[in-house]
Amino acid sequence: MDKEFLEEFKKEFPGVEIKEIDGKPTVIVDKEEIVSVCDFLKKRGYVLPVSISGVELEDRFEIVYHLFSISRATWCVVETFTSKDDPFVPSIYEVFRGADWQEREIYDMFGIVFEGHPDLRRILLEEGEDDYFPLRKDFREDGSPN
Amino acid sequence: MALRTEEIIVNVGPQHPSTHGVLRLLVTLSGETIIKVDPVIGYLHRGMEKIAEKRTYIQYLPFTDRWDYLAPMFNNMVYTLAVEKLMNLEVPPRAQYLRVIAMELNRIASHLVWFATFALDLSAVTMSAYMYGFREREEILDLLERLSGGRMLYSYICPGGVRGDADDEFLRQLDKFLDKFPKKIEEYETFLSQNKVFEFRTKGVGVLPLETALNYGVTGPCLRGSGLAFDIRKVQPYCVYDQFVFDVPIGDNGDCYDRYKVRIQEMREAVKIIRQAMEMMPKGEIKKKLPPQFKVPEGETFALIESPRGALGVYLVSNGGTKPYRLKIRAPSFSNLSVINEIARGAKVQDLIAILGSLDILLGEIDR
Repeated sequence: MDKEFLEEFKKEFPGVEIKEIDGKPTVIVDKEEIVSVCDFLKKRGYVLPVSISGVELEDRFEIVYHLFSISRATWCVVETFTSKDDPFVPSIYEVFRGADWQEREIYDMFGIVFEGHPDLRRILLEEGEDDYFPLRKDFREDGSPN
Repeated sequence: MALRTEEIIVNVGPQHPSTHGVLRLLVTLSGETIIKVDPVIGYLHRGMEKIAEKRTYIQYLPFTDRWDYLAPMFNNMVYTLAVEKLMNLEVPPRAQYLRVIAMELNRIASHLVWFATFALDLSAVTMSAYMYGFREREEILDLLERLSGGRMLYSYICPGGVRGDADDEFLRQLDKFLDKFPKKIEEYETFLSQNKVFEFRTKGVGVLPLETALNYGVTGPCLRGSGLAFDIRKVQPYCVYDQFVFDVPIGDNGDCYDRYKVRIQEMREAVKIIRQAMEMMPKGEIKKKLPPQFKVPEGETFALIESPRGALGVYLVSNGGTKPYRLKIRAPSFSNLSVINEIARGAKVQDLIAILGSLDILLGEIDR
């Protein structure tokens, strides 16, 4: 992300923390802002939603969005968090259609609900009677429910 | 009596030769026109991301072979790249060139399987094109066997370098192969490029507009077929790709024919890259010695490379231990398949097989 764009971003979203992680500019936003941030980035050239990943941290879940700008050939990483008791994040389906399956996969693996997703159901695993989310750290591999 | 029309649902797969793996498609049809395609995936889910959290970094390497089993070199590479980035590891220069040679050979092999099965799916030339594709692939597998010891699953590229050096016999055989392969590509093209049946089945079929492709995160030959020269090897070079001269072929209309053209052209470019790598390859070490159980410093990284199917990525989070804390695989086929409902809608039912074939998906990578 170039300096000029960084200033523009700061003006649009004051109070957002910007760090450089792994050589990529990383913005850490509240989950309420995620849709508007992604929309802003898309309009400014970050058109390719490369990857959306879920990570379980000690006390909360992290959602990481890797967006790529083809015209600038640069990255922008967006990170947001949600609590473990009631994990939900607004869906960016309306901004990037690529989020459709990626968010379904995170729901499948972590049980994080994406609000506003039109078709949020499991994608790789079977619907079961009990909720089971294998990528959570407390997932019991002997098959018993968490 | 009034003519009654009714939508019907046709189930394709999960065991069907044209789905290239265990993929099930729920196709809603009105007459012969497709209303909706709903892919059902996950039959091959093996929990590759969870397994990574239970294995040391070296133990996990053979698992990466099994993501995309037609192009394991790329899986090895992207995983290795992520680990090396976090460890800040310098790799011997000879190893970098050997990686490029191995990967580009694997790219040709993967494209040949695609070419063979795509021709077979469209029954344009029935068995002969199929056999031609597999004939040349066999030679590549022999070459890669000489280099790495494995024919299908290599675990060749590993943190620190590569396992196994190129001997004189390998280089001699590789040289022979590169001499004759461009002529073989011409042979393939005489089968299909001017073939009226093939043109009829692919031209104007499954048009993927550029904007839709980007919106869905489609990458690789599918995106380039839509007219954007986006190739990670050029945009964010890794290994030593910045030292080679090669073109990024693109299409104009984004239909099945353009995606076919792009892949055929990419095989020629791969030959060019291997030639340059052979000439520039220095002598010396091929692997930096690492202990069998090494620790990776705390941090996170995202590695992205250009696999035969598109942008293959790994998001690796380490907590400083001997095992990954979280490993997320960004599989290009996953995004490429998600667009199928968009481009198959309104097409005829027989076009679905052409569209699916032209996307070149691989279920091992989609389901992980």
